[in-house]
Amino acid sequence: MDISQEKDYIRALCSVKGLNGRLGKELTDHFGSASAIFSTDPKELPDLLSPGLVKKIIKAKDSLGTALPEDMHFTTIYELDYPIRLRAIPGAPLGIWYIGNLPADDMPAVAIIGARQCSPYGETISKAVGTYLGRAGVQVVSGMARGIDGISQKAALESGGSSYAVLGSGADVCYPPSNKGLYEQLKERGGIISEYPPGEKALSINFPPRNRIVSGLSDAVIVVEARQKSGTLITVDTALEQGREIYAVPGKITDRLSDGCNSLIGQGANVFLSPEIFLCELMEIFESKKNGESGIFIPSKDEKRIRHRTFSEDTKQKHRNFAGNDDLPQGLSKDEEDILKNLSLSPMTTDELCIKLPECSYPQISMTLMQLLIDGHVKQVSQGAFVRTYK
Amino acid sequence: MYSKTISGALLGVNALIINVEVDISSGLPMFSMVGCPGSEVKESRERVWSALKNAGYPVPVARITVNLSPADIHKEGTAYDLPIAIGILESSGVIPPGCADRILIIGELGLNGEIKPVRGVLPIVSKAAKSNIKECIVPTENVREGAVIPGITVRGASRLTDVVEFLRSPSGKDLPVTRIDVKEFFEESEYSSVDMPDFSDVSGQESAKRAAVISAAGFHSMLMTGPPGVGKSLIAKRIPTILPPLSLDESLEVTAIYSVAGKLSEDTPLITKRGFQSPHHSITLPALLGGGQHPKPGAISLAHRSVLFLDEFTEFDKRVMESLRQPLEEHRINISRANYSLSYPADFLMICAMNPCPCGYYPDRNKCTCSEPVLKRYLSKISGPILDRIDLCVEMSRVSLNDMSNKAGRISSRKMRSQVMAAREIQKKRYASSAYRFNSEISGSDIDKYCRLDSDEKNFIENLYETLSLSLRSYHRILRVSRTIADLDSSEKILKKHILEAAGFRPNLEYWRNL
Repeated sequence: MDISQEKDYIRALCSVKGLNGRLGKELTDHFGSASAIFSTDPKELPDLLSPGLVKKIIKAKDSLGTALPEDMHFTTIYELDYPIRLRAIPGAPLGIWYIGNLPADDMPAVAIIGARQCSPYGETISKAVGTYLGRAGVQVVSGMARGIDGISQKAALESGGSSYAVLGSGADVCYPPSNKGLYEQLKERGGIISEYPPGEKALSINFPPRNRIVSGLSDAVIVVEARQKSGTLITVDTALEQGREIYAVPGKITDRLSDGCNSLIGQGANVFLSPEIFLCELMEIFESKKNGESGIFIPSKDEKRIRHRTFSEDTKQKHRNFAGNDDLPQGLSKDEEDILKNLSLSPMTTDELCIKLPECSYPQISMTLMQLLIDGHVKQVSQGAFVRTYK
Repeated sequence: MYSKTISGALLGVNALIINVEVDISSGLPMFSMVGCPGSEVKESRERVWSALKNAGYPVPVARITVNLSPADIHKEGTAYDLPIAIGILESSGVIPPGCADRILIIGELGLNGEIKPVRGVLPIVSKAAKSNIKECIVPTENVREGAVIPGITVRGASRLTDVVEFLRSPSGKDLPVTRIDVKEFFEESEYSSVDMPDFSDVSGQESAKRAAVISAAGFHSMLMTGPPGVGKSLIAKRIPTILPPLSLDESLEVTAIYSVAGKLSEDTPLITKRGFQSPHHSITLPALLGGGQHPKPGAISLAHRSVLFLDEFTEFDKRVMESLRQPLEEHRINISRANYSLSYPADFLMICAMNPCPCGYYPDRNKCTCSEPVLKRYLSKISGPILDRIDLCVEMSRVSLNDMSNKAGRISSRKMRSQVMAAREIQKKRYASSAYRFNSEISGSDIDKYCRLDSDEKNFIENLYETLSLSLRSYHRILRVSRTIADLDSSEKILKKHILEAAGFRPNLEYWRNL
């Protein structure tokens, strides 16, 4: 099969909804090539194809030979640049469109996923993890959604790392539109990937299949925050099918947004304790895969690109207090210390602080909070609720 | 034969003396009315006709012409019934000529000849007193309302026959004169009644209580956000109790508005307490601002010199909300329609309340599942210009049962009011030679004059401006509020702590606009 001639046909085939997966692959294998499908008399197409699908295939013939939008690339599972991790998953897409780059096979990649409506806790964790991994040279893969996805990807890019978004729309459609800034940055410093043809809208039915690519491109999946019934858990299921390691960030049992993560831990997922420990374990996973244990071949070039540190048990223990950098900043007044001690990542209003600190008057507390806000020790999350910031 | 009686018309909350002229001449029997009468005034013909007949006076079978002068002003309402009837009786010789031309007469007639209450008695009587009219006859139900005006004899009448008897022989049957000593009303109203709500009923909610004091002291508008049932209305209802008592002049202003709106009851001829208007969010534009076919003051004018509480602020119609912008600046509302143009006073303290998100529990993500776009859409219902006019924003949170029973540290309305009044006194002195009354009114160009800062404080607020990425408007807002906080602290200088506290009340634009 001459791939350069076939590529156009595969692209046309992939534009047909329902054929860019297992079925498309089987069909191609059955006929020997994608071009053969198109040259076959429609009446002779296998019975297992629904009449609607046959119609779509006939229609897709017209799109043969259309040019790709500028900046956009297309690759197929038959080519070398197709991500190796993705190739191995069940139901891998026949072809993918992308803008920018694809994740590098010789570098570890991690999916960071979670709730769209996240809490300040989730926001802080995903930001910290994204930053740490970005800095360490780990590629962050996610869905560019609001909340955890976008925050961790943004953090990875800002810390100088690379990040890749897998969309449920065409790669040229920015969804959600509010992440336009991130979308543009990803084009430069990572990539936008989609199995849907350019121009495809962000339909809700596109998202569950897209999740298999998010985990498929990664070596491990971190779930930061998820409710008990959450789309994130679908990704976890597919990730498990693909044999990926799952890391769940534990939360308080009173936090509904941590229910999903906590129950994942209950079911045997890895506990995410700190970015440092995670990185150690990720490297073990990555190395073992590279050595062929999981049957995935990974070319080894320039291994030193990862600033990989090994931790003694002792250091590991230290890092367990992630973000619980509970030491108060230096040089605070007594009021400031009292307030900071009472604040956490759960939003608290001035009134609630007044109750916790009955010896302070309201103006005193309000004033001190403002001073802490100016100094960057707290963050205002709504009109009058505050959370602590950890540096 | 020609006769003339005096009555009054309402123009906004002001009144105008109207001469009611009646002429009876020979000709085909008819009853015509000229002088720009509105529909209720035209109907007056039928009421007067029947009332005269049923009261036992012969209706002249002749050509009757009634003119309401000045004739180019549109007349409305039913107050002309009584003067027209008296005019007809005078023209037909039942009443001696000239005996009613120095008396202002107002009242609606029933078909049986009884006299019914009308609205706007207070401003009309007040205008009569100013126009050197010494005596007036008003419906008995309205007599106490008119009697608060000094320098004029106010008589109440309940039947047409009583008025006629009185005018025929002033020495004979007398109409009772009512006199009211206004001072008495003020004494008894000194916030003594038990049924008034009091801030001592409120436990916790320190931020809202503090904001209420600042709001009352500097007349700053205020917005409370918080989950349902947290006590937003509870706080709002108590704000009138910490405003300084109404002065006599203010009281007359407010009473005039109530009189025009027809909202004065017989036993409260004078409004002596700060009111509390809380219109439902389904309120229409004319109901809020005033106007309508028969113009009446709206909720914002009824809230004149007191509190306008807008609960569920985001649920108000966009146009209704935006319409508040002009009265908030000018303290009055100008209503112009095709057939009239008038102005009602509307100097109110705006207190708003809303939930932080559609479900009511943001930012508590355990309860709130509102997505970002939903939250954005909800908050965008409050436009920038309206948010700009709100000086104090507070977020309230639920008080636990434990704290609820904690009576310590509760502060009474009386104590809060004395703080407010002290700060008001300072403002009065400061603005004695300017057009301002309150700190909230200081315009951007005068802010340096009245909110002068030392260099330390200046550096500090400039730093604040940068780090909190404030707009120029919110910068001014923080200065105005810190001026009031300093006044409450009896500090002539605005100190760093005042600025910091004021900054805590700024609308957090990260939440309001960007998220």
